Amino acid sequence: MRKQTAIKLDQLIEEPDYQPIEMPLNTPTGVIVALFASICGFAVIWHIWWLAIVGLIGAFGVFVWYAWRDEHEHIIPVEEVRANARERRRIRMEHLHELSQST
Amino acid sequence: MSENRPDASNVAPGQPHDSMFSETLSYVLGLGLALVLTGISFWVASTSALWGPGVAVGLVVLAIAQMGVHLVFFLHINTAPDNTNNVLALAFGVLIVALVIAGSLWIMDHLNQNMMPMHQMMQMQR
Amino acid sequence: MTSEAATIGLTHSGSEDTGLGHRGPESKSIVVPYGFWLFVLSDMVLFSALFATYASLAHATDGGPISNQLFDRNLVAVETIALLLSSFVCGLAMIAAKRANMLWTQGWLFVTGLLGFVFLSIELYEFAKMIGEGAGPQRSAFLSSFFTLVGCHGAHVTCGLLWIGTMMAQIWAKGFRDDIVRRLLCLSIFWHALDIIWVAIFTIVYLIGTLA
Repeated sequence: MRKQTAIKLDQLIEEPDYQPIEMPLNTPTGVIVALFASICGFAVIWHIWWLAIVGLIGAFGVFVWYAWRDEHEHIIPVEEVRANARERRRIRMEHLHELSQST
Repeated sequence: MSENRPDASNVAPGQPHDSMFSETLSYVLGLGLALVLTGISFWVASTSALWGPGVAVGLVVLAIAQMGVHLVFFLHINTAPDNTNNVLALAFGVLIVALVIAGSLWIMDHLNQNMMPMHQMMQMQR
Repeated sequence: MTSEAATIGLTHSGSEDTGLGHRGPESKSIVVPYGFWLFVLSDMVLFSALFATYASLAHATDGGPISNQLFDRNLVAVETIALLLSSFVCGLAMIAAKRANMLWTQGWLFVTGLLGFVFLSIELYEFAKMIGEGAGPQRSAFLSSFFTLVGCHGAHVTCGLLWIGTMMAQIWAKGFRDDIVRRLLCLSIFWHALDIIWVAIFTIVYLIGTLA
C-alpha cells in the first residue's frame, strides 16, 4: 500500500523519528550447551555414567558462565540507524523515479 | 487521584501494589485457600460419605479450583489491562492442553474398542 | 505517564515504521515475564501429553503391582504441603527482592530451596522403594507412564533447585540489578507453575488412582 502511494506521489513517506536500536550480544552458549547435552545423551545410551555427569555439569556450568556476564546488549546509535536508513531511502528514491516515469 | 495509585482497595487480587502488607496478604490468602482445598481433597478421597462415582469428579473440581487459586494469588493472573496478554496466553494454553488430553483419550478409547482383544490376537499367532 | 495520555499518542517511543503502536513496546519487566509465561505454558502442554499417556495406561498393570499397593497417601500429603509452602515463601522472597532487601530475599529463597529439597527427597525415597520392590519403570506400562510423568516433574523441580541456588549466588555477587530481578521473577513463575502441575499430579495419580 505504501509502495503504491509512493509510486503515485513520486516521493517517499516522511522520515520517522529515528531511535537507537538495542541488539543482543552474540554468544556461543547455545551451541556449547547443546554439545554437552549431546555428550550426556550419548553417555546415557551406552550407560557411561561418568560421562553423563560430565555432560550435565558441563552444560550447567556453561549456562552459569553465560548468566554471569554483565553486558547483554549493545546499542546501535541513532546516527548509524539514521545513516543506514537514509542510504536505503536514497536508493529507493532512485528506483522510485524510474517506476514513476514508466507508469 | 486515588484511582491512579494502586493499593489494596482498588486492585484485582494479586495485582502488584505498593504496600508490603497488601502484597503479602495476597500470598497468605492464596496459601490459606490452597491448604483448605488440599485438605478437602484428601478428605474427599478417603471418606465414604460421598457417592462413589462422584468422588473422582469432585477431586477434579477441587484440583481445578486450587489451580485457579495458584494462578490468581501466586501468579497474579488477573483481568487488569496490563495483564490481557497473559490471560490470552493462558486461555490458549488451556485450549491446547484440553485438546491434547481429551483428544488423546478419545482416540485411545476408540482404538481400544476397535482392536481385537489381546487373548484372541495371541491365539491367532499360534 | 498515564495510560490515557499514552493512548492518544502523547508518547513518542513508538513509530509506525517499526509496527509499534503509539505507546511503543512495554517495559522489559512486563515483556520478559510474558515471554517466560509462554514458555511455561508450552511446558504445561508437555505435561498434558504425559498426563494423557498416564490416563491411557493407568490400568495396564500387566498383572504387576497396582497403585493401591504402591502409593502412601501420608507421604504424598507431606510432599504436597512442602511444595505448597515452598511456593508461598517464594512469593515472600519476591516481595523482599522488589525492595532490594538482601537478607530477607536470600533467607526466603533458601527456605524455598529447602522445602523443594524436602519434596524431592521424599519423592526419591518413594521411587527407590518402588524400584527395590520390583515395581520399577520396566515392570508395566502403568509404571512406565507413572515414572515418566512424576519423574519429569521431579526433574523440573531439580532444575528449579539448581536455578534457585544460582540466583542466590548471583544476587549475592551482583546485587539487585534490574535484569537479575527479572530472572528472579521468571524463577518464581516457574516455581509456582511446578506447584500447579503437582496439584494435578497428586489429584489424578495419587488420589483418584488410589480410590477404594
